[in-house]
This record gives sequence, C-alpha cells and structure tokens, in this order.
Amino acid sequence: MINWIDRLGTQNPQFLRECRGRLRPRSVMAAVGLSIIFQFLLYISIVDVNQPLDAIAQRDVCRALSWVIPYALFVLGGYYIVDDLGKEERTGTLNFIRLSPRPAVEILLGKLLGVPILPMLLVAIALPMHVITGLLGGVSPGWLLSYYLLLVFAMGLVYSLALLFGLVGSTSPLGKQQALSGIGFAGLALFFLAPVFMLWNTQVVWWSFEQGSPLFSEFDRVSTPLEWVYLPIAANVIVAHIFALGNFVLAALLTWQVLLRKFQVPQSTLVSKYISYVGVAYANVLLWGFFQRSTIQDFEQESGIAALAFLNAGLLIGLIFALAPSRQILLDWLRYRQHRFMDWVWNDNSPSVLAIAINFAIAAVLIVPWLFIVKGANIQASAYLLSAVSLGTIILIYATLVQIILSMRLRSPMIWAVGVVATIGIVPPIILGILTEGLADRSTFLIAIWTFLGIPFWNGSDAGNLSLGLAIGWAAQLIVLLLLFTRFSQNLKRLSAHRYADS
Amino acid sequence: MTDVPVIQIHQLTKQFDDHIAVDQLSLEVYAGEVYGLIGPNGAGKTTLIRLLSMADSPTAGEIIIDGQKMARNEANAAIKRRIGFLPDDFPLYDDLSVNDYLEYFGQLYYLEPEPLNQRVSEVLALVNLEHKRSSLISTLSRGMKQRLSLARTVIHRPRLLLLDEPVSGLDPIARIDYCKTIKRLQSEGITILISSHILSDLEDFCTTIGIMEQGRLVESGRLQSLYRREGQQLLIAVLEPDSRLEIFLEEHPLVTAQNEWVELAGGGRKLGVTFTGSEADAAELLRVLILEGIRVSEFHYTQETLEDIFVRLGYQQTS
Repeated sequence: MINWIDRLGTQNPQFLRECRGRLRPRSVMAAVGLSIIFQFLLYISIVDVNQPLDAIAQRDVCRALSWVIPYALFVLGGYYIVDDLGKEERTGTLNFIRLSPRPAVEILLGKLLGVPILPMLLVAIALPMHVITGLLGGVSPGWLLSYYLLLVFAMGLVYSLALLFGLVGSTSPLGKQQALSGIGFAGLALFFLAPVFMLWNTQVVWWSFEQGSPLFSEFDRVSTPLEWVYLPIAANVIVAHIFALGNFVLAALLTWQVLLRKFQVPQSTLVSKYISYVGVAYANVLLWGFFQRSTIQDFEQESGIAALAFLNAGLLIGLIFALAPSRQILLDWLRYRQHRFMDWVWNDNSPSVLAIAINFAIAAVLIVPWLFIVKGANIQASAYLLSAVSLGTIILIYATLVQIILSMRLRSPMIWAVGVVATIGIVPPIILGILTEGLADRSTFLIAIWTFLGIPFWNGSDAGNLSLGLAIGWAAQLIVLLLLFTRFSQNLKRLSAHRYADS
Repeated sequence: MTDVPVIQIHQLTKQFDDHIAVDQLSLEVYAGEVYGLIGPNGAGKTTLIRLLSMADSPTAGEIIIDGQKMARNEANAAIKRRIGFLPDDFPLYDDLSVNDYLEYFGQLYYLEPEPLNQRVSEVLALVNLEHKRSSLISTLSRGMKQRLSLARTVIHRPRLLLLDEPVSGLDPIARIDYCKTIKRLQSEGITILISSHILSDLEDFCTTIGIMEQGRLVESGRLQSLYRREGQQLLIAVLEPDSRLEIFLEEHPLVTAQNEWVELAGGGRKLGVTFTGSEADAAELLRVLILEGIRVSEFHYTQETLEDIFVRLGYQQTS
C-alpha cells in the first residue's frame, strides 16, 4: 500500500496531494452515505416495492441514473475545480506550484483528476446500480460501454474548461468573488454543458441503438440521422463515436493550449493569436459541416448562414477581449517589438486589432462563398458584400476601442472595456429602434445609420437605396475606425516614451 | 565560500507601468555567501528576489543561476530545482499534515520516496518541528508555520535560497531561533540571498551586504570591507571646545567626513570622523594635535553598526 502511494506521489504529486487533502475519513463517509441514500430514495421512488420487480422498472432506474450521473459529475466536479483554483490563487499557494520544476501539464492533470475526487466517488458508488439495473432492464452492454466512454471524454473536456474558468476567474478583476466563479461554472454545467451532452448523445451518438438505450424514449428522435458534410454520422455507431470523441479531444486540446499558457504566464492574454486562428477555423468548419447534408432545404441553408454569423459574432466579440494585451504587456512589447508586419500577426504581446481582422477574414472565407452559392443569381451581391465588410469594420472599431482602453492607466481597464463596448453596442441601436418604431420602410439615411451602428441588415420593404445606405454607413464606420486607430497609435507613442530607456 | 558565482545578474530591469522597480542592476553572489539585501520600503528588494525566483519575469537584463541562463517564458525546470524561494507571506495548505505537506513539495521536486522520508525528518529537525510531524498545519502557531515554510523551501536541497523578510512578525526568541536555523543552512554551504529590515540579524550572519535604493544597488560588498571602509570611525574627545581642532580637521586631507559634536556628561565633547589614512597616519594626527596644545582625552577607532551605515548611505530616498 505504501509503495503504491509512493509511486503515485512520484508520478503525479499533485494528484496525491489532492487525494490526501480531500479523502479524509469524514468526507469519504459523507460521500458514500449520500450516494447510498440517494440511490435508495431513487429506487423506492421508481420501483413499487409491493409489486414483483420487472424489467421496465429496472430500466427506469437505469434511465434516471443515466441522467443524474453527468449532471452530478459536471456540476459538482466543475464547482470543486473552479473553487479550488480560486482559493489557491487567492492564498498564493498556486505560485509555489508554478515555481516547482514539474511540468504544468502534470500539475493541471493532477488537479483535474484529484480535485473532483469526492463527486467521482459519489458517482462511483452508484455505478453498480446503474449497470445492474441497466442489464436487468434489457439495456445493451454496448450502450453502457458507450455511455461510460462518452462520459469519461466529456468529463475530461468539462473539467479542462473548469480549470480554465478557475484560472481566468481567479486572476480577473472579479476574481475575489471566488464563490461566484464556482457557482457561475456550476450554472453553466447545469444549464448548458450537461443538457447539450445528453441531447447530442441521445439524438446522434445513440440514434442507431434503437431499444438498446434506456434513453430511447426520452426525446422525439429525429427521423433522419444527422449528417456532417454529407457523412451520416448518426447512422453508423462507430462513426458517431469517432466524431463525438474526436471533437471532445480537439476541443480539449484547444482548451489545454489556453490553459497551459494561462497557468505558466498568468499575466498573458487569455488566448494566443495562433490558437484564435485555429479555434475560429475549427468552430466555423464544425458548424458549417452540419448544414452540408443531402436532405437540406434552401431555407435551412439560410438558417445555417445566420447561425454561423451569430457564432462568429460571439467568437469575435469574445476574442476582442481575450486577445487584447494589457498596458503592461504593451509596454513590454514596445521594448522588444520587431518592426515587422508579422509581429502584429503572431506576437501575442502585440495589439490585437490585426489578429481580429484576420479572424474575421477566416470566418468570412467560409460564409461569403456559401452565401453566394445559396443565393445564386438572386443575390444582391454588392449589398451582401457591403454588409459583410461593415460587420468586419464594426468588429475592428470595438477591437481598437478595447485596445485603447486597455492601454490607458485605469483601475480596472477590462471592466471599463467590457462596459464601454456593451454600452455602445447595445444602447444606440435600442434608442434608434424606439425612435423609428412603426416605420415599415426605411430610407437610405436610416439604412446608413443602422449600418453605422453595426446592424447592416435589410428587408424587402426598405424604400431607400440599399447599396447606397450601406455604403454611407460603412464609410462613416471607416472614419470612426481611422480616428480610433490614430488615437491608439498616439497612445502607443506615449507608452513608448514612458518605457524605460535601454541606455 | 568559493569564487564560483551562483547568481549572476546583468543589467536587470523590471518596470511596472511607469515605475521602475529594479533599475539596470548588476550583481554577482558567490557559492556559500550569505548576501543580505537591505533598503527602504519600495527600494526593489522584493521585486529583485521575485525575479530571481522566477515568480516574475524581467523587463530587460539577464539572470544566470548556477551557470544556467534563465530563458524568457520557458519552464526553466533545471534552474527551478536549484532554487528555494520563501516569500514574505507564507501560504500553506491547512488541510494537510506537516508530513504530507513536506512530502508533497519533495515530490514536486522529484525526490525519490526513501530519501524523501529521510529528508523530511532532516528538515523537521532543522526547524525543530519533529514533534509536529503528524499535526495538521491549521493547528500550528504562526512561528511554527514560518519554520515549516522554511523547511518546505529547503526540502529539495537547493543550491540557492531566496528569503524575503523571513523573520518579519516573529517574536524576539522565535527570531533568534530562526536566525540560528539560517546559520545552520549557511554552514551546509547553501548560498543565501536574504532581505530583512532587522539589520542586527543580518549583521550576525551575512558575509556580504547590498544596499538598494530606488531599484539600484548603491552599495554592495563584503561586510568586513564595508565596515573597514564605511563603518570605522576615528573617535576624538577633547576636554574643552577648541575652534582650532575644528579648523584643523576640516582642512586635513585624510578626514573625509565628520559627525556632529556630542557633549559629554562629565564635561568636554567628542566627535567621530571618517579617517582614510593608515594607523601610522592616525598616530601622526594625534601627535600633531597634542603638539598644538589641544587637550585630547580620547583618541581611538570605533565601529559603526550596519544600521548606522545603512542610515548614512542607503536611506537617502526622498520619497
């Protein structure tokens, strides 16, 4: 036993430390007791103890547990991880770990496996019941195997995200609200991650399991199996698993790139420029693929374009904040910068504006041709192109504005940046919407204003000259962008003057 | 002590926004030395120690530890294994026992199980905490926690120990015990860089002293040379005030500085002067004074404390 513990400590001391800190007799007994009580209550609430035990009841117990297990693991485990990292960062102990010679991967892996050890124990105690009731209830062993395989991979991704959430949360201006970070992630797991995991698996991965799955009757199963780039991923159980597990691995790899960087250099920008390009391309291709299927209608293709546009809007707005270097990073960059174009493309300490433009271009590479293919000859090409460049320009305006705010000496520059972008992005369109309420058709002037505010959309009832309105709005955006960029250049010059002279 | 440098710093600079915490600082600390870093608050001592420990990265300059250059944004695992860093706060894991805590850090530094067990005993003996081996950290007193932190810092036998204000907040007896522990580490040949505001402690065990002010080293050298150069004063007491003496000393080429006159309780007055001449020159000075008829009652060398030297040399920061 001692040798085994020693070996574990030599392999991954962080995992052993987490186990030692958490697996205290009282905590273990509480977890085991809670799990048994829960199982008992679940069992008697489903099974009529006065009736002979039948397969349907057993299957119902297995189905209930199939729902509870991912929720318990994701919500509780995620909360534990976020809370633990926040506590370590706040007390300063995380720095000692950072300063140890162990690789960051090893440390974080130890945290990932060790911190949620009590929720894992809680669930592990329930696994025999899940398996036995499943087998007695006619659930296929293949489904059970698939369930646990997907669960393990999903746990890997969810806990990696929790680590990232914890690290970012603890170093952010709101980091002192450690309990809020934990609750925030638990909410994300409860209302998004766990439901998406169950929905995806039920509708896609287990689509071909027929009656072998206890969750078969849970949803209205889609009539045709899902395709991705004409590949029937749901129809074939092997392909479905490869697709799901492959995406878990890819998403986890991207998360770990961000995670390792943030762990090793906490003051760095959240995302490196390289990862942002890869991430945007990956997300776009993934979503685009779901709209490339044999049975798709034109209106569905248009929905796909809209979905991709929304995805990119969210991604790019997130990246504006994730890529923008702080004032201190900019100062360091000004000291070491190489006056090359490529420095703005790849150097993570350089201003983020060009990287945002590149990310926009990566997204546009997929959306714009797709738009022209779907719309065919009916397309108002100039209007669509103007809308696209106008959207890109407004994104660059926000990016430059954020970069200006972050280069200023403010107490909480990131909070200011978020506040300013949210205000100028939301308030003017609302006011304009109220002022123009009831106007069924829009003049060229109104189209221009809406475009200027970052909403370059139109409908058939618009009375004005569409392309002219879009062009005027875009031109106004360009002027604002130019002014902002001039201001930012001045800020950079001022920072250069502040930086310490080498001589 | 050898002439092998364990710390080599070239033109090190750390800038926080407009504030330059460490300013083009160059320094060498040799194996076996105990280098005491003193300076007023905000002089850059903690920043320098954090840069050396890799808790922060420099804005410019170069750090070489034990012959290995620190690379920017790299893991620097080999250097980390040679450093033990104790910051001025000492966060611990209250949920672990003393033994588990030390084992954890030993394992983080790749100590094998058997030597680790032995090493935990050694470091607990070093800091007099053997009797607390199985206690939970949350039950220890502040002094014990501070000693445990030191034990954690040396568990992996670092070549270089970086201690930032290690005795702050300790009562006098605990402080004396702590200083004894540091001396024992020094006797084991560990190179130590220590910052402290309690200069009498540093005086006790430091071989070399650096005085920092506004991010720069205004003085750095062997403690004995510093004493010889800056700390030795010639004390001259006279039975009655004599204006000739003042004029004579002001014009004497070997007297570089004079303190204020101090009135003596039994009559007469005395002053200390910085005298750069040899003992023969001092004897000649005395002979001349007597020949001039100045009634000299005391004439000998005195030793300034480190605190006096620091106040005179280092504490010139205006802000």
